Amino acid sequence: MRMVLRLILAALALASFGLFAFRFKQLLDYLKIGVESPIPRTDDGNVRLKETAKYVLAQICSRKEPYISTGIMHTAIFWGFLLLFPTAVEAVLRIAFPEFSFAFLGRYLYGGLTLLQDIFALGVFVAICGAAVRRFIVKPKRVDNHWDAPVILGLIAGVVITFFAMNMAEIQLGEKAVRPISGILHALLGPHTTTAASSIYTGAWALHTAILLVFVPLLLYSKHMHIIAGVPNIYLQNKEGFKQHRMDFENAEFFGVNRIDQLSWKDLLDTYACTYCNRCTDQCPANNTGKPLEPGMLIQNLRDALLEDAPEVIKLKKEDKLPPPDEECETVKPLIDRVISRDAIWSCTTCGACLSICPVLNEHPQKIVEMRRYLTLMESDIAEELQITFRNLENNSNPWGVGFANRADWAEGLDIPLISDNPDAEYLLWVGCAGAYDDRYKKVMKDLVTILKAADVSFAILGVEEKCCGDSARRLGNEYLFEMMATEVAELLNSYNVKKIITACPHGYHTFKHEYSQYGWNGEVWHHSQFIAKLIREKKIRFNIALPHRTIYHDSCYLGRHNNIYDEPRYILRNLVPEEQLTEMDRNHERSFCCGAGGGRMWMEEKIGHRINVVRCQEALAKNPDKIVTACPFCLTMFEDGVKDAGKEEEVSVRDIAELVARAIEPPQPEA
Amino acid sequence: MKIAVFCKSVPDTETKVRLKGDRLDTSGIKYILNPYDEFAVEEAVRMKEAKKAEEIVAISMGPARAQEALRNALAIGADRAVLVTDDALDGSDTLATAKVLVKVLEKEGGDFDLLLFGQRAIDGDTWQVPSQVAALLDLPQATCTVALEVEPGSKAVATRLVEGGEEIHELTLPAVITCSKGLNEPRYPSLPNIMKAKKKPLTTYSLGDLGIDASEVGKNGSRTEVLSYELPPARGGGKKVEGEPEEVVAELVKFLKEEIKVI
Repeated sequence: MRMVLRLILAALALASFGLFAFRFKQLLDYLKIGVESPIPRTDDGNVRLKETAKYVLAQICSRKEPYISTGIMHTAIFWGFLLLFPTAVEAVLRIAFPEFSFAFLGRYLYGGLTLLQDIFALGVFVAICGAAVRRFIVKPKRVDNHWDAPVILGLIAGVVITFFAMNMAEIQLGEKAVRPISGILHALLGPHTTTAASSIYTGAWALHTAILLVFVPLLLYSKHMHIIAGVPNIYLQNKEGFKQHRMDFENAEFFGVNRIDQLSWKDLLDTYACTYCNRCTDQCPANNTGKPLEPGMLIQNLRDALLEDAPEVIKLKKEDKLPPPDEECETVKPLIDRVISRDAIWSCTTCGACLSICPVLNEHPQKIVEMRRYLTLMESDIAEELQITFRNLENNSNPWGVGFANRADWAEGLDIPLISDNPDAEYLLWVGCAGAYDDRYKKVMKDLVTILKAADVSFAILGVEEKCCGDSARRLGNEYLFEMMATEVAELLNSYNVKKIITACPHGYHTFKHEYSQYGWNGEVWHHSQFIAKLIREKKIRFNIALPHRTIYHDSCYLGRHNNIYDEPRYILRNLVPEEQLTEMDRNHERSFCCGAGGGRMWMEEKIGHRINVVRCQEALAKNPDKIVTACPFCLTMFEDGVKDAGKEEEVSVRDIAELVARAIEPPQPEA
Repeated sequence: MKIAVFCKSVPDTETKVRLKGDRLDTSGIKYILNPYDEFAVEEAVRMKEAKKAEEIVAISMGPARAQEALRNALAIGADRAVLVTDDALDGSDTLATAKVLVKVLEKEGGDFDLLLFGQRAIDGDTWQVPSQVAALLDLPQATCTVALEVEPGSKAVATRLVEGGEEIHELTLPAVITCSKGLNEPRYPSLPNIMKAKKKPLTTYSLGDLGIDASEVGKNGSRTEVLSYELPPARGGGKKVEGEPEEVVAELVKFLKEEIKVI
């Protein structure tokens, strides 16, 4: 009997590993149809290795707020699986060598292993039950029950049950390994005779091994591919922050992405790594306000498209018959309208909520911007209002379209030095389009100037020479326009040898900091919240009053999630407002909810679903603040609109952090 | 059908107008394709896309920088462009300009079925050139068109907005049409089309090429003369009338009667 089982299992093992190897090679070949990754993926190998080990082994990936409970389940299953791996190896090797055991590792090592195995196997079992309850009884909205989820849960349960059955039988057969839980189970359930133990062992082992052998290829044919692809995906993560890459307008003839082979191999690997957890969709502000964007579905549909298209692409490439991406191809269909709708592409605020929650560090918004590039550059399929925005940027270098000659009007009479007159100024105050043209934000800019002057900072402005940094153009996919704008601005900055920039706009901050090196400008970039915090720390500014109002701070996405600036604005507030008057929204820091204006959405009508700013504003108003504080011109506008929408503009004021600071230092105190 | 679209390079709508002596200060001005001409180009391109037209020629008269406006027209979809540029053209009035444009049409074969203009150029704002061209060529014209239907080889039906309604004109081709806002929504050219536009032919003519004597154009060839430029007076502050309704009304009537004398 045992011999027959061994023969059957041997055949199964061959089939299983053969299929695994075949599929592995196939999936690898599919990745190769992608283009080069525009950003480095393997630099700093040691750092990457350490970060990956920490992130995966400590299961930081799965236990991010607010998914702690599912994360704990995942951690238990993950650790249980690592620990049960030696048993799996034992079980498979026992097909050929029935007596094989890791007992040779010695009493302590093997004893420790068996002890941990016993505990974690129970943990896995509990977690599996928890997962089953969640998946089939609780059914959270984001959980999408594919065929593979119940199958895999069942298989894992089978692995654990047969594991205990083998142990219980082995205990009866005299095995002395340290397995307290199996021991209790044995005492309670048996088997209590050697004959029974022997057959139960054989049966349990055969089943255990068979399940494992089914599981192995299934890994590569289900969403459990993440077990194989997740770790390399994390290792190959983007370490340069959210940014878009520069295009080669000299040589390229096709711009943006609309066919699977236009994505980079790393974008394709992302689709293998996706676990269908849909936390990204759960966090997405567009999705949460009734818009058709589902970042998780985008990745999953891309995987389906890859599996469908890759064989065709490979075949056509081999025959040298693959048409250029802008020409119709019968067998390889465009991605837009297939994996994602146009409305969904334009719904993205590039807020990065999906990026920051993804357990395997997938990069969703980058793909969306690539598709926007296609729509904007190739098809010119853009909203009417964006046509105006782009024209405004082209002709007057600001999205509002006010004459470029008026850019310095806000500064009239303020006696602000121009960099052309003061080439030695230490900092360039980058006013930004909002500071220069938006009546509301001009006030903020004036307050910022008051602060810088009070602190005796050596600074100057570009005046009418300043132009738009191009953030909106880039996020909206108009890379051609951005190329022209960024080239001009980088040249301008270099012509004055600017090395340090202070700006009040997180979007400008982000673009200068992460993207202008692509155009030859390198230097220090300070967001005004960072800079004011520095001035307070260095005691360059002091406050003469405490602001008594109940104050709530909103994290701008481009400040917080994209640049990790959470503490400085709060540090400033703690210096201004008594601790008990400071409050937070339910979603703050990394889980902050976008105001709705990022990714160029500032310039677009919001026609689908609820308005994001209204939803976010309600969240703030629920805490009964007197003041909502932001550190971003877009957020300021969105919140002011939101407060008006709620009819609360009499009771609740919306302020930039610089305005609070300027009120508290005014009149500037002389040094004591 | 062969269409001529006239394109003028004009200062951007947001330009801060400044004077330098008796002339406009043209330094630091961003020039664009006259927005009304954009409607004309778009309309022509739509006719070509509807297979009603075979060739669209974008024509401009102006300094070398007008090439940029022409490239824009080419990016929207014109097939080729012609620029008349000559130092002697400086100071030409509308009639002198119209005469030059007529010469260009002759030079380009004279076989145009449709002459499309913007209803006005946003810089000089004279509205005259299209009608003068029509008069010189003795062609029918419809100005300020908001809808246009063309039957190649026979006629054009143009709708114009007039006070209280619409006027619909039927014109025999060839005809002159001037385009108004509302006729269409000009497209934002796609990048491949911008790239293609850079390679499309752009012919430059001097006065000599067109057989025009310098004395017929410029200041000397113009019947109108610009005597001086003057900025409009700066807008004064508003006036607020406050108080009880009776007082306010009395005050307002007094203001209308005595100060601005409208009643």
